[in-house]
Amino acid sequence: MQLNRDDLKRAYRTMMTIRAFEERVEKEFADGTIPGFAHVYLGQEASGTGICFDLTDEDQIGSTHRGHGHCIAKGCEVEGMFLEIMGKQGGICGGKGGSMHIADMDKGMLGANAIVGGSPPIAVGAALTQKLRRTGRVAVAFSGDGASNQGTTLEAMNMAVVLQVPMIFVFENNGYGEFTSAEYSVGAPSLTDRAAAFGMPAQSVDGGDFFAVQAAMREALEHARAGKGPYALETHCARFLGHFVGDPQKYRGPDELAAARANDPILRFRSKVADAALLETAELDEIDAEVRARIDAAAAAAREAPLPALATLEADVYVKY
Amino acid sequence: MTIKAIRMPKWGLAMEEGTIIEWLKSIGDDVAEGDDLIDIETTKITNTLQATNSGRLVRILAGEDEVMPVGALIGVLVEGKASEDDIDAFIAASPVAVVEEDEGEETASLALQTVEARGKRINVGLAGSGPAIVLLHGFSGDLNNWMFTIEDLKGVARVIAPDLPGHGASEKAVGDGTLATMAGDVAAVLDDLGVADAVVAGHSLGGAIAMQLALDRPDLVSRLALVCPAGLPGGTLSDEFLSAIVTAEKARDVKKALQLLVRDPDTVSRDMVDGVVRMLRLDGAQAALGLLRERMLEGSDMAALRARLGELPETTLIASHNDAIVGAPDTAALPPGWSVHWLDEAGHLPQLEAASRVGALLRELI
Amino acid sequence: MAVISYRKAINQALEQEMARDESVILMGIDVGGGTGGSGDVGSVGGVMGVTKGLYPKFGPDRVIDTPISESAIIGAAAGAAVTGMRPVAELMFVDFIGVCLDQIYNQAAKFRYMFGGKARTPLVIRTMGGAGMRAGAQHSQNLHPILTMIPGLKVVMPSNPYDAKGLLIKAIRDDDPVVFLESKALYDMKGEVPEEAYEIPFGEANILRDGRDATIVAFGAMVPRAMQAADRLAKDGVKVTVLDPRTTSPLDEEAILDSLDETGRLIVVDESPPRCSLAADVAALAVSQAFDALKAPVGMVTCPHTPVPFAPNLEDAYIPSVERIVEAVKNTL
Repeated sequence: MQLNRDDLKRAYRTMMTIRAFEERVEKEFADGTIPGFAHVYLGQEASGTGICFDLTDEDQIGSTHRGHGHCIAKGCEVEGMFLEIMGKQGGICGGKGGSMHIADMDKGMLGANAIVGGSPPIAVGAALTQKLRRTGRVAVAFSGDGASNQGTTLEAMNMAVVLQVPMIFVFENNGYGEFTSAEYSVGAPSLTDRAAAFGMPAQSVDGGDFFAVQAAMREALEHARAGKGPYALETHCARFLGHFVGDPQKYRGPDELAAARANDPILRFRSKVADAALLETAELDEIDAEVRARIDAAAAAAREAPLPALATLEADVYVKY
Repeated sequence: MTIKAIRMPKWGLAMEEGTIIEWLKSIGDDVAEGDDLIDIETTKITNTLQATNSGRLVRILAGEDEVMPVGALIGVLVEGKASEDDIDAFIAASPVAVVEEDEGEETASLALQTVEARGKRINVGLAGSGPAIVLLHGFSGDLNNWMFTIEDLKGVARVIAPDLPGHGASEKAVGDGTLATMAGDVAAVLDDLGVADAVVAGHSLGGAIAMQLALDRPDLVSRLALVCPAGLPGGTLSDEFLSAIVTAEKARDVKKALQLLVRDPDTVSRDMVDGVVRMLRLDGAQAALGLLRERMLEGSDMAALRARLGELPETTLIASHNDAIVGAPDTAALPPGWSVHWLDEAGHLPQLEAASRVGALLRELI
Repeated sequence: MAVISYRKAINQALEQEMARDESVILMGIDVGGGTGGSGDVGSVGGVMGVTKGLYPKFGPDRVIDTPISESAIIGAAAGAAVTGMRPVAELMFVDFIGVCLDQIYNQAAKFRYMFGGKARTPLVIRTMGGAGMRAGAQHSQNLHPILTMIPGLKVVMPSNPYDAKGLLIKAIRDDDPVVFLESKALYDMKGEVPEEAYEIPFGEANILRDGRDATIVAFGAMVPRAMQAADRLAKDGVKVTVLDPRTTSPLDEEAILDSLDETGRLIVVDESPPRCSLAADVAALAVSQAFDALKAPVGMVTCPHTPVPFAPNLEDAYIPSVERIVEAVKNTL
């Protein structure tokens, strides 16, 4: 199915929102306005955007510690996200979750997850709900190459096949689990081989190419929505920054970092739509400006926002205790 | 000379032992039949044992706080004169515990039966044979409220004690919750059991239902006995109690509510609370009671009843000035000819608090 | 009223709730049993037969046999719960939480708080614990202390058939994650259980017996033992209150403190090693909240600080005995 101009603008706006958001996080972190630590999605924008592009609010995703991009791609509001990341009142989780625990149930965002391999079993359960309720919707588990080695992920893959749930395992392979390369730590020849061994179709795509990711995801969605069980996608990505903001990345050579920047998914998207004369450069620049203005305003507002009331410390541990 | 045993009584089917709380007579005191003798705590309620013989109290064999099995010898009365040796010989010759012989027959004396009444599953306790007496418990009660009464009556009457709809082991649906509906369900139970022309005793809400039944189905009711009934002129209705029961979540809430029922709050035992708590926990129970409460507070059923008191058959009223739930009715406003008995030693539960007096009054009606 | 076993009471609760609410599903290892085999499917009903008869009644969509993958079972149940189902996941032996604890304490128990009150996770984890079955160190523990300290989780330890049914129905209807820790030693215990459905609230202790000399607080399978100890003590004229908190989280602190106010003596019986046990927890409650009421040091009757041994004589010595409870009470007098 061909993407129309509105689709393309929507995709670009999402990728650009992630880009601007994460760059702002980097800056705010340097300024000391973000407590703790943050993992940014810079360089991987096309992957999350392509995966979530055809999902509805009723489709659900489980995310990772590097989840800001997934949140934005799934429709979370950046204003609430900034508040959350800064631990402020009005944050999307009341300031009690933070960067690694952003969730928005109404958007089908079941949560970023700071436990590597935490999301896949939960997404199997979400997919089980979809199956039992016959919704025709799916659940997606985002994992990295690191989580692909977790027992929980492997258990979840087997369970998903056994229960034939409508689920898509997305492995965003950015080459590193923390500071250790996937080349070293993934024993199998490839993640898709591994997924296929569990008995589900799997394909590997260029995670820097929005169009490739989105097309592959459509195939996965068709498969899952047809009741054929789970599907696996590996998106090859490149992290611009390190594991966390401030990681000096001495374990990556200068050429590798330069190549990542040169292969910038946003630039690739721009040139592709410009070359094909699908969108004007001016239109894209206009989106850039709008997005940057929104991010600036959201971040500034979050900086000024009050901290959560102390009374909320003990609230919401239980529905009722 | 006659030497008489005082034994641990058996109050209700579940009673296996009792704890002596207090001897109300001392060694050497003269005791007349019917005198209050001992306060005894059972797992259900604390009650007073009244003397079944007259005589001088010569021995106390179980002191305060002692737990004794049902039938155990706990004291000795002597009529006339007896030597210490005679008394010792009597005690030595007495069996340690006398329990009613045939357990099987005894158990069978309160048979539980399920009756389909107008499509509702109603649990009915049946005991004894002879003329029929129907016992209707009150709001949030069950047939066990009559446990002492049933013991008292089963030797002389066919006792029929249903769990009202919404209560006990009966179905929780109470329909529209009106007196007419409740009375109609009771009528269906009696029809199913082939009962006609019965003495119908009702406690509290059960009293109002009994009156409604007498008006709607005079063929079923020969006489009425109303024990602290709801709905009489001059009476009140404690919503403190009703709403506490309807909203109670925990046993301590229920205990507080039940303590409103009795004159001495200490008589509310843990087992009594547990019994009510277990009933209230059943799905639909509190909702059913909530509906009955709304109907009672709304008041039109009771008002209609008050307007027709003159049409009721011969009626015995048992009430208490210490009743905190329905209050003391204005007897001047009652039809002439009612036989009124004040049991002020009790609160709202004379059939438990002054069980033997209630039992005696009801026996007279049979 | 029907007299049924603890096992049957649990089965009845599951059956009634599944019939009442379509979103209630069972999942776990052999909860149906036999799926994919060449014989009868669904004839097993769990390794202890607790879910027997439910597969034939509700079918494979609602009684879901899973691979032996505890993380995936608990995680998927948590995921199904947070998206609208009411799963009852069976963890078989509580000893196996080691392989799925992340999904319990980092995931299910934290969703609501981490996500600012926006998640509901009506998950029940049925599992069994306790020694005495000659099952060795990895099938005999009672790990309620580990679970009780986790905020966001509720922990239930039924001690009799009536409570088992009412507490499980409550657990299924509850909107928070609940660990329902069944006692292997009690599966055949019989008691009166209403046929109708009923809920027993969490955080409300059951007081089984009143006595003014001392308060015994006991959990799960220790409750019947505490009652036996109370019977023996009564013969010596010592009258004790026996209090079963029913749930370790929430804990009915009020009932414990009220009873302590009356008796002044406290003995806690907990089938678990002593450190960080419920015995230690309740003792700390008494010391911090009711120091003035205490007439004697708190008695703690627990297991030794060892794994559960296999040899029958050693295992019997491991579990708090009636004799040790009696002795502990007498030590406070």
